Amino acid sequence: MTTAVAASHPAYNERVIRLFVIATVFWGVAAFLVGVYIALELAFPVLNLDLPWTTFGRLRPLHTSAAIFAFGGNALLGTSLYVVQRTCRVGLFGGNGLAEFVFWGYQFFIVLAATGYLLGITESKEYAEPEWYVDLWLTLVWVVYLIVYAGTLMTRRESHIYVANWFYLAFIVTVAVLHLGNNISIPVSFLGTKSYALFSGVQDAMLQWWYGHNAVGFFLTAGFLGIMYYFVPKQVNRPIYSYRLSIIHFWSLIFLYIWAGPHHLHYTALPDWAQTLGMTFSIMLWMPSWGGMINGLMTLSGAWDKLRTDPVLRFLVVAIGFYGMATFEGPVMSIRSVNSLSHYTDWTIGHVHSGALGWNALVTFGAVYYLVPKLWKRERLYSVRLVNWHFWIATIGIVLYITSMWISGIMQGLMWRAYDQFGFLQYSFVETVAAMHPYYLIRASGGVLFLLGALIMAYNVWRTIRGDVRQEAGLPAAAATAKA
Amino acid sequence: MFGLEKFLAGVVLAVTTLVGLFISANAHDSGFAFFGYLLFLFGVLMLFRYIALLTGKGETQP
Repeated sequence: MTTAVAASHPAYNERVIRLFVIATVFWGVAAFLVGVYIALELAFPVLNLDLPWTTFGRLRPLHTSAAIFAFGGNALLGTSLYVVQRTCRVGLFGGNGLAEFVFWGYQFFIVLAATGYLLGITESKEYAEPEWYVDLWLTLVWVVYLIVYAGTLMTRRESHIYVANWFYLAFIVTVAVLHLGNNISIPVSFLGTKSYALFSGVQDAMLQWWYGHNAVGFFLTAGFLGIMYYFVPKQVNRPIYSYRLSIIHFWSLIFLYIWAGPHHLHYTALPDWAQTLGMTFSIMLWMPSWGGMINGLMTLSGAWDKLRTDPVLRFLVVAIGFYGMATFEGPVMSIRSVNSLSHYTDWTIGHVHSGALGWNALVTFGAVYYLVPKLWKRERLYSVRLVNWHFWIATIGIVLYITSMWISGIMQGLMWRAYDQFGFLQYSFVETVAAMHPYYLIRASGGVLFLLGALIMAYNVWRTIRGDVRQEAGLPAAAATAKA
Repeated sequence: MFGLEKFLAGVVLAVTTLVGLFISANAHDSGFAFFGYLLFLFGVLMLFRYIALLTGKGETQP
């Protein structure tokens, strides 16, 4: 049986996947480093250095784009091209040539966007800051990516399209639609950087948050669910708990997410009905999100003991736990009365990071640890013990980060709305900033721990690629066994 | 990839490189000129990469 399968094994394009894995680790460290720096800037404003290039306003989009598009994007592109080959049992459509154009073209997009932010070139749209020429370049790269991905699906040697591919395809297609819709702008000159959005006022805001929330929904959720649906069953060596539930999860998530954007514009000039629509769909989103979480967690049924011995699986499972937590908190925060307290405060920052660090980053770390020994044909990772250290350091870092931001954010919101007996505001703005200082320090320390964990991963990946194996006699046999 | 596709890829990258040069020479601001330089650099490096990929010992094509 094994021989027959091996004999008919197609030649996979793995070089480009290796490049994506290396880029994921590199950009992850870069994103976390900038994140730590700007966290310290908030605690110690002197770190802005009185230079335009190092101000919080320019470094903040550098951090968010590096985390979402560089770290998360490389993880998504790499894993999607890996998964589509394995589940379709065919090499990439277009071969190494097209695939490498996608890789290097995407890195070029990241460099263009990052250098633009530092130079002050921005459309001032959150998560869509790059100017028109960078948007056009990304469109070109994305179309080639779609051709490679869809072409591979169309030339597959398996009749069934595994559910992970559905999520990846939804991510690719919807991100394309969102990117085109939100970046319709008119350049001042075709030989200059500056452009102006076609829409203005509340229409522009509505379009921006249709994009912004669905960037979360389809980039940071649908795409990463593709990772979950492939790598969790592979690592635990069991089929997904309920394939039927995964289909329901897919269609309900895709249908509901696209309507939820207006909850970012509560108490604004956006019509009330649109705000209510966004809130209602956000609350309904709780159900498919938790359906997916349950499906991921229950895949471990009968194999929960593996969590004790396999730190890679621990990354994947705890990520699913954070996915459930963040997708519970999100609908709660979309309720208008809750949003009146939480919006514009650090609570939102805590919420975003419970999703980004807890869900996106941890599931990516799990996938990287799974992929590296396979892609470089190694017996196992250099050190399972270091994976364990990474897991605990990162988890403690996340907990410090999000709990400090919850406390800081709720305190901030309550201070803003506090009145004295004469009806005047009880606190000035600067008093709220001073009150948040201790929490900024705790947040920064959480970020330092998360960065430290990522550096441990980078070291472990590097030594694994070199072919080194650390002797770790004290570890249970299951953890040290090769997963290849 | 067939022969024609290799040729077309080379042409597209060569044009990209020239567009980069044109942009850097005619840009209205320093940011766009920088973009032109980067595009030129990207085109040249990708051309070399494609030459290596298509003439060297790459992975076996499926």
